[in-house]
Amino acid sequence: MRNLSHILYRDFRQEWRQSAIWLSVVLFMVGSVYITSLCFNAKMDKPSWNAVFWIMLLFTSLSLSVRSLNASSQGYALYQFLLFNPIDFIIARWLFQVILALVLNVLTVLVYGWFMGFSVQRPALFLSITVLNTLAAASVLVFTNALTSYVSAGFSLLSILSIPLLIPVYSISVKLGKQAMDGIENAAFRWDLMGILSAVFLISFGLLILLFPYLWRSR
Amino acid sequence: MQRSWYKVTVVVLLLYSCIAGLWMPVPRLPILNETIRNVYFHVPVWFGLIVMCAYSAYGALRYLKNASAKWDQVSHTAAQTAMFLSVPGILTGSIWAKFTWGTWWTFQDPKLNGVALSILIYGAYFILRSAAHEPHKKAQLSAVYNIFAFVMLILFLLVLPRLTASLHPGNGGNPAFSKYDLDNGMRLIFYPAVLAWIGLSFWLFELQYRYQRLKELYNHENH
Repeated sequence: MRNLSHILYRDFRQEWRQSAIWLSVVLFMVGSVYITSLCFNAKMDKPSWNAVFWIMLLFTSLSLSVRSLNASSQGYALYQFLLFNPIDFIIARWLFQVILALVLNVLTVLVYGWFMGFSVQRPALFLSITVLNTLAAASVLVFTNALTSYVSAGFSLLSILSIPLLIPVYSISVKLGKQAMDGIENAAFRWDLMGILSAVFLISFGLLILLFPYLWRSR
Repeated sequence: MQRSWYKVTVVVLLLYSCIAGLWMPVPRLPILNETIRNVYFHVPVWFGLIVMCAYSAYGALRYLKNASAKWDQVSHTAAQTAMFLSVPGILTGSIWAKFTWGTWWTFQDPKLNGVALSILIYGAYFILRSAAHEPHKKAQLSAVYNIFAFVMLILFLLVLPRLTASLHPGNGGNPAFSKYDLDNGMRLIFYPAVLAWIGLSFWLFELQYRYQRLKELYNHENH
């Protein structure tokens, strides 16, 4: 536990110091929202609003994940390998990605809603779907990020590896998001899909914890 | 011929399912008509593909346990065989769909999306393999990705039907081959056809595996 908080603390301190990197992700997000509102003239029907929102979230999460790919150097990797055990390390990585992604995604909801209008009838539910989506996507992205950190191929490989694995997460989120937009009452709401999204999250997180030690060993 | 017994069985069963599949009477169902015979060809191909995907994941699991190059090769070859099988699978399905649904491809059907996803996943798997150079690292990374991807694929295939109703026969009230209108005559051809195609996919796998081994040996002797 102390190791875990130590890694997290160090990651955040480093992140704060290199503010240009995380600011660039925020700028990326604002830029793409702006382009979208230009393309659509800020007028969209509900299904498109929902679909474009989730695509936006997919690409901001991807770019956030690429950022942490560049952050760790070879020397620091060796230092981590000598000091920490893989489970601590990967959970810290995951928490780090989740916290940053949560901040970024909530920010995306705000900026996107500001530019494109916000006509979601159950905002709290919509936000909790976003949170669940962030948790699931972060597990997949931390996993593919760990994989690609061993090969020198960078962004293209990361997106090739993660997009197929993210398709389930996002296709469920789009369905749920649409329901929250339309203000479907609790009785008719597709809670089974919510359960499946949670299951996707739990399974991908479990696989991350189970499989990461094998990657760790190959350093 | 190595292990000739199962190859002989595969040939016999394939011949049987082709001849009987095209010749024997089938139930008359609306829309499907004679195209119901595709059930003897299209469906068994997908059975073979799923079995190969599972075998690939199994090979990856064995590799992570004991790190022997053999299992890495098995995993890689099984994935190749699966992708090879997706070609006849998509062709038979697409031609069939043109005559029954009136389109070559649709995004509304969960099974089609599942196929698209599996092709994306194994495509990424092959690219990952080509991106890593050092053999042990390549094997390790691709084994880890393979297992993760296979579990997500299965999960997705189970989840998908809940997202959109399938257009496939037997789903969403479409006429087909379910326990209600499947007659025993069709079962007598369908089950052997499934066995035959699963056997054939192992045969294809074996050929490719041995070819890769020979190539490796050849390269080894000439360098």
